[in-house]
Amino acid sequence: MTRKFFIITFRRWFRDPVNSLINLLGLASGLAATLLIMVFVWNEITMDRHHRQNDSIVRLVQGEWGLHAPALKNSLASFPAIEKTARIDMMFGRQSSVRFGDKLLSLNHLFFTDQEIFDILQIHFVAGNPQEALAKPFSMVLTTEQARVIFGDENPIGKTVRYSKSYTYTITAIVEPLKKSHLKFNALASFEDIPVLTGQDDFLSREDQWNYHYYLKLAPDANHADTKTALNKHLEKLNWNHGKKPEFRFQPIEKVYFDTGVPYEFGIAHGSKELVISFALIGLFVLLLALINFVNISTAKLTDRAKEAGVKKTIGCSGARLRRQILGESVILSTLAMLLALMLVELMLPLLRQMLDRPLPFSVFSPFSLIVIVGLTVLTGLLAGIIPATLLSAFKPVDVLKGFTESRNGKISLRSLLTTFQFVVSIALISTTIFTWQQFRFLSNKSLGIQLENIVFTSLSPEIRKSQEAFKTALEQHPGVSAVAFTNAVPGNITWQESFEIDGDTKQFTFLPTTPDFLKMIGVNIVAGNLFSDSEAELESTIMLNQEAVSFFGWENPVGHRHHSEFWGKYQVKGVVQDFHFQDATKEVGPLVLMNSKRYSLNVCVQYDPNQIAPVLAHFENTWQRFSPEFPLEYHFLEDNFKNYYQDLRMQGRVFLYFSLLAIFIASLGLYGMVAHLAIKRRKAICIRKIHGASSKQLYHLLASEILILISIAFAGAIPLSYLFVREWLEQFPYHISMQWQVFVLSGLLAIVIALITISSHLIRLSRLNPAEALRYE
Amino acid sequence: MIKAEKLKKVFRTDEVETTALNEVSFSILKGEFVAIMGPSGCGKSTLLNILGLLDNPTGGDYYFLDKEVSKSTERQRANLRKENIGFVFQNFNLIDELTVFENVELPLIYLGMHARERRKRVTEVLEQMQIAHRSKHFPLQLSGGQQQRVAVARAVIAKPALILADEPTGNLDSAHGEEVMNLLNDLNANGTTIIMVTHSQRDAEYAQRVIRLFDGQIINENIKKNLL
Repeated sequence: MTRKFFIITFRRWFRDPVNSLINLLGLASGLAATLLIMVFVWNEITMDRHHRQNDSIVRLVQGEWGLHAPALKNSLASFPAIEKTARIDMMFGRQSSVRFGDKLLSLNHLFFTDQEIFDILQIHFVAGNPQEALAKPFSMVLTTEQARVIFGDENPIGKTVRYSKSYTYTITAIVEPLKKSHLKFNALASFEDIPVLTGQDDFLSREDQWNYHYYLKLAPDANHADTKTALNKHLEKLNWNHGKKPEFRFQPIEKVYFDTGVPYEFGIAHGSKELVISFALIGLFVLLLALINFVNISTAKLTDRAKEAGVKKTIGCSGARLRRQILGESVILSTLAMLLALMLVELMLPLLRQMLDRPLPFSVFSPFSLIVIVGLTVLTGLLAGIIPATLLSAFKPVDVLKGFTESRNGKISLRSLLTTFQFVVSIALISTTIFTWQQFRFLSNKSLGIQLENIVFTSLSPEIRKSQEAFKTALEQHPGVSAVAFTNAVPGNITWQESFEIDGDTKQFTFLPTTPDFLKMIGVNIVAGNLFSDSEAELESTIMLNQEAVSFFGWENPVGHRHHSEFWGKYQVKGVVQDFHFQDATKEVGPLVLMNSKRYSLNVCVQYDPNQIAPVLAHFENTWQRFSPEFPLEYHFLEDNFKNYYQDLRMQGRVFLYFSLLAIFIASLGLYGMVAHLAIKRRKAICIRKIHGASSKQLYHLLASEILILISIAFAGAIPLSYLFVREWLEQFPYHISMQWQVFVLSGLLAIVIALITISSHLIRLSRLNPAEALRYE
Repeated sequence: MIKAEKLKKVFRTDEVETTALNEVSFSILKGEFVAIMGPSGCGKSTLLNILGLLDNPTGGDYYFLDKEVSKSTERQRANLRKENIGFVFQNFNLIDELTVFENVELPLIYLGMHARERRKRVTEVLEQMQIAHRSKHFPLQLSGGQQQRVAVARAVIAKPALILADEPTGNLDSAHGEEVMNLLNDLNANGTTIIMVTHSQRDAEYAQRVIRLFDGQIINENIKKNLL
C-alpha cells in the first residue's frame, strides 16, 4: 500500500513536471532561507546561555557605566552572597604584540582577568587546568585559534612568549574560544600583572579609574535584589563613590549581549534585538510565500483531482482517508524540499557567516537540529497540504461525476488573494531594502564637519610614545607625507568621559586630549577664539569646546572662560569649534571638550599625498621598524575606520536585499504557476474572444491587466506596511533620510516588470492561440 | 459569396498524417441556407473552421467575398471575421465569467463601437431573442436553450453577412432545438447567409441545400426542389 502510494505520488508529479518543480524549488528555497535565518536567530538569542548556573552570573553596572574601579573587588569579597568575582581589563583594545622566536605577531583582544573567571564563565580547557592557569604571575591562556597562529602545530604548553618587548609570559593553558558570548578574547593574562605592566604600583587600590568590568557569580540561593541593596548601602557607608549615592545593579549575563543601554562600556560585543526580530520576520514571510505557492498550485489542480476524489468516494473511500492521502503527498514533497534546502544551507552558510561576521555554528546531525528539521518538515507539509486536503475531501461525489467546474462568477479566488499577499510582501521588502540602502549611503556620505581622507593612523607603541618628536621628524622626511599629528583618539573612537561641576550640577561630556596639529589635519572649523598653539605653557591648561558643549554648559561668552576641575586643575577656554561628528553619524553629536595635550597621545596620524600612497606607506613601515622593532605596525585608514561603524547597517541592507530577491523569486514562481493554470482555464475564453475578432495585442493587454490589477492591490497593501516599518526603523537614527514616495513607486514598478517578464511567455502563447485548434480540444 | 476550389486540409502529428478534407469544391451564394452533413470525423467541422476563417487550408483556394483568403495571416482573418461572420457552436462557447450582456457585447467591443451604441444594440438583440430578462446572469445560471439563444444573439449582434453554426441544437432538447432553428431561419429570411453543420435530418430540413461529406470528400449535394 505504502509502496503504491509513493509510486502514484511520484507518477502524479512527473505528469506535471513544471508545477512539481515550482513547488519543490519554491519550498526548498523558502525552507533554506528559514533555516539560515533560524541559525542566525538561534545564535543570537542563545548568547551566553551556555554557562553553568547561568542565573547566578551577573555583570556589575552602575548608572551609565559598565566599567568600574579595580579596588571595588575587596568590598565585593566581603559579601557572602557573592561567591566569585572576576575583573576584566581589556586595555581599551590597545594593540599589543608577542614575540615567539623570530616571529613577531600582533595580539588583539588580550584580556587581563582574575583566576575566578574560570569559575564564573563556562570556558572549555583543551590543555592545562582552570585552577592553575592564571595562578602565577605572567601566565597566559590562549585560545586554540590564537595558539595555532603563534605556535603552529607545536605544543604551546610551557613555552614562553615575549609580551610588549620586556615581559616574558608562560603559556599555561589552551581553551576553546567563547564563540557565543559578548566577551571575545584571544588570550587571557592575570589582572595582577597590570601594576607591573603599567608601572602604576597603586593600580590595584585605585578608585579613580573606571576602566574595568566586574563579573560576579552569586550564591545559588542569593536574592539578587537584596544583595544589590545591601551592596549599595555598604558602599554608601564607605563613601566609595565620593559622596554620591551608589546605584549598582546586577545585569544578568545573558542580557548583556542585547543591552546597548549601558553607553560607557568597552570591548563588549553587542547584537541588535531589532535586527534579530526583523530577520525572524523575514524568515517567516519567506516560508509563508513558499507555502502559498504550494497551496496555490494544489488548489489550482483541484479540478483535475476532483474526478479522482469523486470516483474514490463513490466506491467507498472516506473523506478522512482522502485528506490523509493529500497530506501524505504534501509531507513527501516537503521532505524532498527539506533535503534540497539542507544542501542549499550547507552551500550558503559560509557566505552568511562572512556577511554577518559571526561563527554561526550549525550541524545537521545534532539532536536539536534534527528535531527542528523534522518538525519543520512535517509542519510545512501539513500546513501546505491542509487547505487542498480539506477542499478536496469536501467535494460531493455526485457533483464531481456530473462534471465539476470551478466556480468563478466574479468571486475573488483564494489563489488571487494569496498571490496578492505574496506581492504585498515582495513590494514591502523591495522598498524596505531601498530605504535601508539609502540610509546607509546617507550616513556614509554625510558631511562630518571634518575631513578624514588620505589619513592613515595607528596606535603608538611604548617605544614611540617615549620618542614622539623624533618619530614625527623622521616620518616628515618623506615628500609624500603632508603632515604628522598625535592624538589620544581618532574620530569614531573618541569615548573618554569626563565631568564638570557647573552651578552644582554634574555635566558629563566626551573628552579628547589632542594636539593642534591633529585639529588642523582633520580641518575643524573654529567659530570663536583661536586654535591651540604649540606653546608648552598651553599644555593641559587650555581647552576648546564644540558648540554643543557651549550650550550644554550654558556659558554665554565661553572664550576666555576659566574653569577648575579636581583632577585637571585650572584651565581656560581658548576657542569654540563647529560641531563635528566625533562618533559615527548613527549617534547624535554631544558635548565635546578638546584639551591641548601631548602626554595622553595614544595614536599617530599621517596625512599623505594620495598620488604617493605606496611609497608613503613603505616609509611609514620602515620608520616604525626603526623606532619600534618589537611591535608590528598595524595601520588603518581613518576614513575606512569611521565607515566601519556602518557595517551593521550595510550588512542589514545586504541581507534585506538577498531575502527580497528570494521573496521575489518565490513570488514569481508562484505567479508563473498561477498564470500557467490560468492559461489552461482561460483557453476557451481566449479562443471565443479571438473568434469574435480580438487581436493578439488586445488579448495580451486583457490578460496582463488582470495581473496588473492584482499587483496594484498588493502595492496598495505594501505601502503602509513598508512605511510603518521603515518609519519605526529610521527613528533609531538621530540623522536619517526622509522617506520619498518615489521609492514606493519604484518598488511597485519593479514588481510589475518582474511579474510581466515572468508571465509574458504564457501570455504571448495564449494570445497567439489558433482558435480552431484550441476549440477542437474543448 | 463563398467559393471553395479543391480545398485540402491535412493534420500531421509525429506518427500519423490525416487528410481531413480532400479537394473539396463548392460555392455558396449570398442569402443561402446550407447544411453540411456527414458522419463523425468526415471533416464537417474542419470545413466549417476554414469557411469561418478560423483556420487556413493546407491546399486549394478559398474565395470569401470574392477575395482569395486561403493564405491570409491571422490578423487579416481576424479582421474579416469580426466584420462579416457570426458563430454559433454546439457547446455555446460562452465565457463563463462574463454576464449574458457582456458576452453578447463582445464582438462590438472588438469592432470599436461606442459604448452607448453598444448598449442600445445589445438590448435590442436580447429583446429580439427574448432573453433580455436574463441579461445580468452568468451563462452557468441559464438553461441550455437560453445559453444557445445568447450564443445566437452574440453571433448576430454585429449584423454579419454570414453565420456559421456548428451543430447548434446538438446540446438541446427538441423544443429548445426548434426554437433555435426558427431563429436561424428568421435570420436567413432577412438575408443572412447561413452555413450549418448538423447531424440532424430535422434541422437540415430548414436548409435550402445539403452538402454531404464522407471521408473528407463531397459525396452529394441536394438542393430543395422548391428552390429549383
